[in-house]
Amino acid sequence: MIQISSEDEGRIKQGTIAGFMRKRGQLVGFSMGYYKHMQYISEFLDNSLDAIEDFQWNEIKDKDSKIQFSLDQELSLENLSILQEAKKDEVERPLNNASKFALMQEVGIIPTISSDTEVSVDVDRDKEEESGEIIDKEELEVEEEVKRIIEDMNEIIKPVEPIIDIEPIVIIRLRESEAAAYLTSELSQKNIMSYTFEMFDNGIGMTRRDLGKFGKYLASSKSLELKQTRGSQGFGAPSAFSDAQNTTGKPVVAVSKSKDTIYATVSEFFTTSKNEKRYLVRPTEVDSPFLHGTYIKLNYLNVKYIRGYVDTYIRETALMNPHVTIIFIDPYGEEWIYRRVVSNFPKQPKYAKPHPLSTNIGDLQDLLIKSEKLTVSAFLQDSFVRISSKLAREILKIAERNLQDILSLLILNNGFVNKLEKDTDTINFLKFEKRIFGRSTKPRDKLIIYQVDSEELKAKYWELMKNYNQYEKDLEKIYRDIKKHRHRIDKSETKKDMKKIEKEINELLKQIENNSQNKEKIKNGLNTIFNTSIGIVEVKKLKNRSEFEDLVKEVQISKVKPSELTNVQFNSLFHAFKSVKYMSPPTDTAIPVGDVVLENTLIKEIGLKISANIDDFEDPIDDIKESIDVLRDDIIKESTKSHLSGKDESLEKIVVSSEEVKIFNSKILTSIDIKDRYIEPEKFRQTIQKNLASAEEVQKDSYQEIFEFFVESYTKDDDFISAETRAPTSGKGLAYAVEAVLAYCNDPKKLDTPKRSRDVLSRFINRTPKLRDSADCAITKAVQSVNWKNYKLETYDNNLPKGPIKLLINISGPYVHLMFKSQSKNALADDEELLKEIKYCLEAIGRRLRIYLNRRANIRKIEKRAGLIERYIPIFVKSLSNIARQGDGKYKDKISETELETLMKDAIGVKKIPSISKEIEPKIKKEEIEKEKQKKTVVEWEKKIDKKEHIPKKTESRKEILSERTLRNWTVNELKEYCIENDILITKSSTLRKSEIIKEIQEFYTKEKPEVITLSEKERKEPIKLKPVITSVVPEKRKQLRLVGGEETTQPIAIKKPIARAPKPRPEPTQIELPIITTEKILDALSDEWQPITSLIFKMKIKEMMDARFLQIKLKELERKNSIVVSTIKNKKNWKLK
Amino acid sequence: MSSKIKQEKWDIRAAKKLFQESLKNGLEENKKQIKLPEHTVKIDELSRELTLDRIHNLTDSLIEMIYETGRPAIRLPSRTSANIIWDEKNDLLLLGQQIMEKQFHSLASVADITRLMKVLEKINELLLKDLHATKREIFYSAVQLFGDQKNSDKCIEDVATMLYTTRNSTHIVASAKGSCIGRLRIRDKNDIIDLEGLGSGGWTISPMLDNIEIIESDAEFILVLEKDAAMIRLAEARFWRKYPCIILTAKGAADIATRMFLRRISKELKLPVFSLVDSDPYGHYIHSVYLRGSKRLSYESPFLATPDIKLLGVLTRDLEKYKIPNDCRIPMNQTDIKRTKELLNEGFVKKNKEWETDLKLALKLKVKAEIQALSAFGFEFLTDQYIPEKLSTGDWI
Repeated sequence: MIQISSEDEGRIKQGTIAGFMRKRGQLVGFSMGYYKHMQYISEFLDNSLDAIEDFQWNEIKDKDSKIQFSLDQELSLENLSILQEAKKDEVERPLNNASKFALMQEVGIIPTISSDTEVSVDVDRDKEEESGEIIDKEELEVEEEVKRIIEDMNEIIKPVEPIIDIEPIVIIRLRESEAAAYLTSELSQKNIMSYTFEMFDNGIGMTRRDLGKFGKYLASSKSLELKQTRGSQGFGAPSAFSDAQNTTGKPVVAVSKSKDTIYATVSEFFTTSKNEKRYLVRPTEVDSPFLHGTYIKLNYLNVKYIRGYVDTYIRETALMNPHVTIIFIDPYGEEWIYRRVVSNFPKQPKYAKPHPLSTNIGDLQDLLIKSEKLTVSAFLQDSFVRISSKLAREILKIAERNLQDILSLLILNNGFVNKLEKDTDTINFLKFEKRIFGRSTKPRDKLIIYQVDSEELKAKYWELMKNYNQYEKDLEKIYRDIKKHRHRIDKSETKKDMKKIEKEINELLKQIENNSQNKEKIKNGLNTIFNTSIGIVEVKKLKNRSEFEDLVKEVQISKVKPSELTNVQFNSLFHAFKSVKYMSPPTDTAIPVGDVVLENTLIKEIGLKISANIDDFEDPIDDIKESIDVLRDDIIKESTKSHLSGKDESLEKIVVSSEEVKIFNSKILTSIDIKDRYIEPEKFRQTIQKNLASAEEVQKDSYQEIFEFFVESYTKDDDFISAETRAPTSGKGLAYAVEAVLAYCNDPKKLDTPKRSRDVLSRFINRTPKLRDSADCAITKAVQSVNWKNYKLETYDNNLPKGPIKLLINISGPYVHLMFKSQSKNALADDEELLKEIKYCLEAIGRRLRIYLNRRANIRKIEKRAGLIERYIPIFVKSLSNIARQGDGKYKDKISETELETLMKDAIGVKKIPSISKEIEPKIKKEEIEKEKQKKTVVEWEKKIDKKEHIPKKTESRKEILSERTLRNWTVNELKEYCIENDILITKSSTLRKSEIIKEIQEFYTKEKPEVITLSEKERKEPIKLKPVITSVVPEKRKQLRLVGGEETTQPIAIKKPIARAPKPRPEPTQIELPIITTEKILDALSDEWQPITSLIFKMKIKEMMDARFLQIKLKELERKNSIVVSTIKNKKNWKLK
Repeated sequence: MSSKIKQEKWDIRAAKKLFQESLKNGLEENKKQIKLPEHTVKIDELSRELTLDRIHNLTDSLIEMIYETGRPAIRLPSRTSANIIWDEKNDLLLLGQQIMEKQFHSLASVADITRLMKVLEKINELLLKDLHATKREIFYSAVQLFGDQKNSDKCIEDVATMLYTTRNSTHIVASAKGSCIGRLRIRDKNDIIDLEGLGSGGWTISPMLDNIEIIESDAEFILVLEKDAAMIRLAEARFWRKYPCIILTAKGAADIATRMFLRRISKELKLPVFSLVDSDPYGHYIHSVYLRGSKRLSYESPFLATPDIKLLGVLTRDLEKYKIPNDCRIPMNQTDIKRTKELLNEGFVKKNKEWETDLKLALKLKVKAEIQALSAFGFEFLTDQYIPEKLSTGDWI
């Protein structure tokens, strides 16, 4: 049926992206199935994480920010349960919002809206506001609705309220209910359920204006210049909304608040195929329990939820995003809490301009059209990475050269001449000259057209032009040849042939270069010819004057605005753009997660047993080795002080008594801070001291052996973890970084060998897990290409490694989305460079794994044999005691078999402790002599040296300077504590990275080293020791928060220390002027009239958002204490005095 | 069993001369004690009580070790070939002073030390009860622990060295397989045995030699045979009737009891000893074991070796001399050649030039032959021609 519409719409109808995408959700993963659940989660979770990171990065930029997430505090969420809280509330609210809504629909109070709502929208188009249309509703009804939305939201937020502004957090809740029959009747699939999806994040949040755009297709917060983010295109959320509406006909709820607004904005809406919104609840301002963040709620139909999809996705996301707390409540009512495990926020990736090599013709066109630059050269330099002004000029030169040939107009130094082929044509020379024309009285540039008149000039011109044309023809032939050669390459079979042809092509390319150089020469020739005004006649009146003018304009591409390029110009520009060689893109735009973070996260996630303090013993060993010298120096120093006269002879004779050394050494030993929980510090110290005590002469090297033995024996049960982050690389115009982490666990309860090969490998791209299409992905292929048997691992049939292992691979980069195989962004396309990178990365890890597995196999063998020894004990003891009893030795009747057995068994455990007291016979005599000497000296000095005071001081000063290696082993918090203890100033403590802190500490050392740190100096320093600078607001606020959270004992968060931001004393001008928000002031501001918070803010002259926020909290407290009266008017709280 | 072959009696003057000499030497030898060189371990033959004492001292020290460190260890002279020294003067193989430590808490030696203890326990029991046991019996006392008789045998030898005494003193005896026949009268506890009147079987050498007492003999020499077959031949011919002698065989490799018995009679009766072995490296080796002891039991060689033993035959040079037919000669195989070369490297062979030449000749001809090869000239050739001729001409090494 042909439908002829009125006016000139024609037969072909213009669709919209929204209209198209609404019906094709499967393109972005919204087809019915288990993966659809995951798709919902992934779209919004990715957005949330981006939002949280955006917020934090923005705040970090602001040096005075007081609201950035501080990740210093330990986070323990043991008592946290959103479900428990929700249950408490359930009693009060018999019907939740969703079910009420569904009920109302079914009864018919609210009209059900089917997926073809578009029809009805058209009518109301005029009513649209800037952000969409609004369905008229009774004010009261809206108010009711808003109230319900807020209640719903509070249900999941309330339990985390105490940390909602401190911790980066995402909460997702998925609830299941029977789908209404009228919704599922059309669907052929069984087991369709209705799901309510809710999500909250405390990310950057949206202002009212942003919220208006939110949900529309291609409305993206990310700019064209891409950086390394998860989402980018603005397809995900709108597609999710479309699907939600299409399946349930229910609207989407969004509540959002940015830190710059006082109220949060609530809206409930449908999206339409016109890419507009239809509001059920227009954006309304309400009170919000959070400073910034977004809450989304929607309903969708899908097949019944099963585990293994969404939960996996969230778990893996949490693995790669350890800087965010993620809470997920699944439809079965189980809570999955992934708490934040790191104290560093990832670095903000730089914005990356596109690289010319990865730009296609369409991209270039788009960029040109949008550009506001005045010249193409500026545009090129500004829009792309690796295009310098020189390179831009070269591109333009090539483009113009092409244009001249295409348009048959040659650019000369002082004008233009047309390029002709037939002798009969007239030669025109064009030139800009200053002339007075039009109304103006001043001379202006005017294009003057000359005709070549003199035969001489003509002859000269033709002589040159003939050559030029010849070159032109040659060029065409060369191009044809190249094409032919290319064909031959396709057909050629051997590599040798291919290389041969490639060589020929290169030859031809050189010819092209020569050709264009020759052409330039001819142009120079023309330049000299037309440098005179003799022989040319100005043509005043010419019909096709405007044609010439256009031509001149067109040929000069360097003088055109980028947005006004003609087709011909664009084509030649693109040709030139692609024919220039570029440097590969910079790699600083790719920010990997980092190997340390990866390792730590996986250790915590799986609960691996890793003793990390192998290096802890290094310093004590060094200390012990030098201990004798240190003691000696001390004695010398003391003696010079007391005697003053330089008795060199007596100094040389000084020998430190071994007893003294022993005491000193054990002091060092007790100062070892054993961080590993698997080593029992007491037992360790006892054993060492026992061994040392039996030693007559302390042999320095023996200490190391003992330590090595301990490290060896305490780490023998360790699991294995190793991460490798490759330096970012750039290939084919894309910069990316590959990293991988592999865990090997000995405890099958924690990590067992997966039955399915796909459970071994987790793929991530920009920290986002990819669960689908794994077989297709380049990452999987790279893993398969590794010869795992080399690294002592079995493999599955598909050559993925097999064992109690977990392998995560993450690829980060700003342009990774260009590397995907399809729009659904699930699999990376094979790229040789990429495959190689991943393989190298895995092989590096594999080598470490092999060492570990070999070592473990050895330990196993030894253990097995140790068991063997134990088996022999009873036999041995029995024989021994039999003989002893029958004989008449001194042990007759005195021995008990069990006693002997236990003695021998105990000896098995410590069998390898190297004994320090190895008696070396020839030495004995010397020792005796020395001992005698010592006795003398000791007697001499004993009175003068107060050992007790002396030794501890020494150990302390030894500890003062720590090696970089030790420092690196510390956590950030430990480093910070150390800094505070030692008065090392560190700025921006919360944002500093570990390496930077270490640097600060080392700088501190270099400053301090020349001075001798004496006790007195230390004391002098103490008073200066900085108290953490905390604004008067913060600690109070925290106190309040605790009260709000309920009883202090059930406080879900243990904040171990006050947040001390910027312990650097700095003048705070704003601080002095700021009003201190006290209860009195608030009470002063309140009156008998109802007042919203805005008026209070005005009255109290509050200028900072933080203070406004604090006011809000303070008001809540007063409310709870019943000091003031509260009432909700139009969804906003209003207060007055009692 | 009379034969038609000439029954003439050879005048074995060479043997008689040797007998005279050894009688003379023996008298002198009794006066001077064997002096062991330095750096060798002294092994004593001990009485029951002394052995028990040593055992108890050892256990006491072990218990002390356990109380001190929980880690007992036994030290004993190493019996590796590196620690075996050839005493040129006395022509004996002796143990050096290298000591090895068997630690209980070492994976390598835990089994060894436990086995040693078990053997020690058994020895203790044997000594207390004054009984003897064979190696096999020891093995069966703890089959699980020993696993293989090789292990228990090794331990038995180790225990002896550990106590610095002879195997014999530990009351563990090897199952004796040797037999003896000839002009000798002995007493085994209460029984007097005349070795001449035991028919053609002879007397089986008892492993419990400490119960044996030599009464009298009118033999002029002792003949040691490698094989039982040769023994039968000589017994049938009543060889000792014609030429007064004592004949004994270990039926193959020489066991301790046989060697010990041989040493005893040769020392006590001061008789020259001749050995008749196969003309192959193994035969020569057996001769060498009688001569200066085996490597395995080197520590006991002063109590087992018979340094004066002469190699009567069959020599390689005899093959030509007596024109042994070619089908009775067996070509040497690779192992034979290898063994011959090994023998040639031994110090005691190098010292004896004649022996060396004979072995070199064997190596050159690459031929070996058994005693039985002589039967090619008739069964009586051995008894009536070969042995007497050699004894009378002094054709030995």
